[in-house]
Amino acid sequence: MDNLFLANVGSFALVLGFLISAYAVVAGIIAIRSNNPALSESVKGASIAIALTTTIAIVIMEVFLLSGQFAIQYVAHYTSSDLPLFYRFSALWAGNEGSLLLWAWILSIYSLAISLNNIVPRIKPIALTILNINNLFFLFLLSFISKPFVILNPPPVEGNGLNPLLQNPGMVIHPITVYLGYVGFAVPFAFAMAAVIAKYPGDEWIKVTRRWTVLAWLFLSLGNLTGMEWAYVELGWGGYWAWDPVENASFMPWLTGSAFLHSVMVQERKDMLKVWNIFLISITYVLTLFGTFLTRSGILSSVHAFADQSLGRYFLVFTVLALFGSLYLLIDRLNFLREGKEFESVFSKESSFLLNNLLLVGAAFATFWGTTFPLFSELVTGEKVTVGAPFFNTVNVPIFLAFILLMGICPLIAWRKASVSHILRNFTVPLFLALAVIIYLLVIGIRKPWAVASYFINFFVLFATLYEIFKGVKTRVKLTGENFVKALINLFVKNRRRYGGYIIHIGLVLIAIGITGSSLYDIEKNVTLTTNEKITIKNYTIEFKGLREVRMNNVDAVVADIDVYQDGKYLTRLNPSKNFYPNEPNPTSEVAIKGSLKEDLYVVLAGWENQDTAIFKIKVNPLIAWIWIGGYFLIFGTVFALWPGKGAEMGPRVISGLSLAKEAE
Amino acid sequence: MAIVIDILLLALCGFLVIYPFFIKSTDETKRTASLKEKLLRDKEAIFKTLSEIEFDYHMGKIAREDYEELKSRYVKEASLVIKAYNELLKDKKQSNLEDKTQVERDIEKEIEEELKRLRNKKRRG
Repeated sequence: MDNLFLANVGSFALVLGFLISAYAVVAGIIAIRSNNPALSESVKGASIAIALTTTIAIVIMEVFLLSGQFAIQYVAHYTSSDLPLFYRFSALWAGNEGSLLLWAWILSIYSLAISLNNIVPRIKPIALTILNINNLFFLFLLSFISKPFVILNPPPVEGNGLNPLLQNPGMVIHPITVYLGYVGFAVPFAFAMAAVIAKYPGDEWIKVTRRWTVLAWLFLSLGNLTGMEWAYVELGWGGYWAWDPVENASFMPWLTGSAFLHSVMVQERKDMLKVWNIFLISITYVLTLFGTFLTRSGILSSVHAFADQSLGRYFLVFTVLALFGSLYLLIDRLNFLREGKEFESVFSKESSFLLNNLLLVGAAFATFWGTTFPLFSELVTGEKVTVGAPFFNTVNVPIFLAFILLMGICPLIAWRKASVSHILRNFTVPLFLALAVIIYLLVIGIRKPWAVASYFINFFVLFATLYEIFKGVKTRVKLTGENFVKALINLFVKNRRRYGGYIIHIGLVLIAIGITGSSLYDIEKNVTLTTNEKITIKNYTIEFKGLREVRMNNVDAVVADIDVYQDGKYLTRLNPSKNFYPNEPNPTSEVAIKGSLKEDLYVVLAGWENQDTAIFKIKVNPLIAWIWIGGYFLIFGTVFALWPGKGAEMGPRVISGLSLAKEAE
Repeated sequence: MAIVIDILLLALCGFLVIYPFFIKSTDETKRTASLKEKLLRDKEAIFKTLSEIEFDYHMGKIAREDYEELKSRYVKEASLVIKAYNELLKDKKQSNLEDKTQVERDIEKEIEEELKRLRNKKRRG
């Protein structure tokens, strides 16, 4: 095709981007040392140029993907003529080269946004230089190691097509949200390092990067949730989280990022935990790189890794450099980062935040240890010992329950110092309501110890949060004379940051309720059925009506017809199938789900013996829907808290007016 | 065709990197503006703290003595920041009130009223 010349332009744009990044790093360092404003402005120009070159490269790649230019190796590897347009577009992040290009593009746009903003002028040039080192690394990979615009000669007539497992809307959203999250954490990391390097006093870098941190956290949450949903509907094993190394890779920075989001509030308000915050954001950023290393290197077996050992090696080197570089700076500047204040009381919001942090970091460490244990065991004993889900569940479940409990307690405690009598008074109502729920659950037969513990904690937190909102409304009514509805709306709108946080907490509780129900009370049956044969699972009756062959778009499918009855009444027809994609040796399972708020009936066509005999995996997964509903709460709460305008401002803090007055002079 | 686009791209990027060397710096203006913004942000933060302390007290989260102590501390902080802000405006000859936004005026007014109220209270006590 005649647009092939664009491959040359794409490659040139990437090399040019790499060279400009190198210039931006060197010029940035010189500008910082010499305090040369013209050179700083030139670095800003370089940021625009880097964003321009990566944008050109990514647009060219999309043109190739959408037009089916199979002369480009990447297009031939990940698309085919019969692939729907939507998946041709998303094939950009189906492979190594494309996803690195996407990563570099997002990073360059983030760097551009930072360079154009007049924020914390004293440390911004250093932060921008750190971001440009990242740009340099990714553009180096794209220019010399993992080139996206390789031309095949002679060009193939047809492409290999996209991995069928990736042909799912969840898998379109999942990678891009994870990348947006990963790259987003580079911004607060860069500013934190800049503040440490420049020995910049104060916490302004936290305030200006807060939006970036929350945004990165939002995308990472979305990435994890869409990944869970994809695993549930697409992989066909009946669950949504398997503690797979790649799942853990995006979960670990989410944990430490969550800890950072809370601990920066303590620094903002109390001028405390400075060292801890620098450590947390450094470790979060390093974990995003480590996660990428896990995904790229293929060093651990996973359902969805891109194995390329040479690329993995580069990521490992970059990760180690980032880790030791940030730790060195942290240790070197310990004196400068000494705490402004000390904890005044065990019963205070700041001490409960610290405890919450320790739990989150503990969970991240346990997950890290379990994920990397096969590597360490191989190093020591020569044998790769894999750590399974029981390890992760045994260690993490108690930690998560304690974390959720704190989530309910923290909002009820005031900053600085809270009296025990006040805390107890605030706990009485939610405690009583949670006990009432537990009694009801015991009566209806929910008696497994972990389930009882989990539901008690989760309902306590849910009621504590709702009670806190209720008390807030009541206080507002008393202080302003507004009616209840108006006071409720104003309470949320005028302090979106705090109440957005409460919505997120409610979302997490709903997710935890869903996880508890679906993991402790699921029922599974693996059965072979002949036509018109019935089987009963819980109060469902499943009747197998037969198999048929269907041709849909680019897929040949074998579909099972199943009639479902609930308590003897006809409910619905389900159609689980096995799909055969061209160029794919093995068929994939398309799960059929009949969902409700109470439970999901989950049916997988596992195989067949002949036209009249098929093998099914049938599951009843209780409360699954609450995981997704909780996810929507979490997303809504984050967007609500983040949306610009009144009510989303930073939290109040202890301010040294004297130091500000001095600065003004 | 590819070479022409490559050259155009190179020229455009080169321009973006080089042109700042040929324009005059406005650094000082930016520094003042940024410090002004910072002081305004801090003023707003103190005001927000005061309203939050008030709210937490009425919600029963803070004891009366802690409430009084925190409130007087933040009012003192507010007066220092307002002083620094006014000094800055005076120094830079930017003290004309028309420059201030409604929000800025509201914040100042409320903090000053709070200061006045506390002073009167002290005098009475």
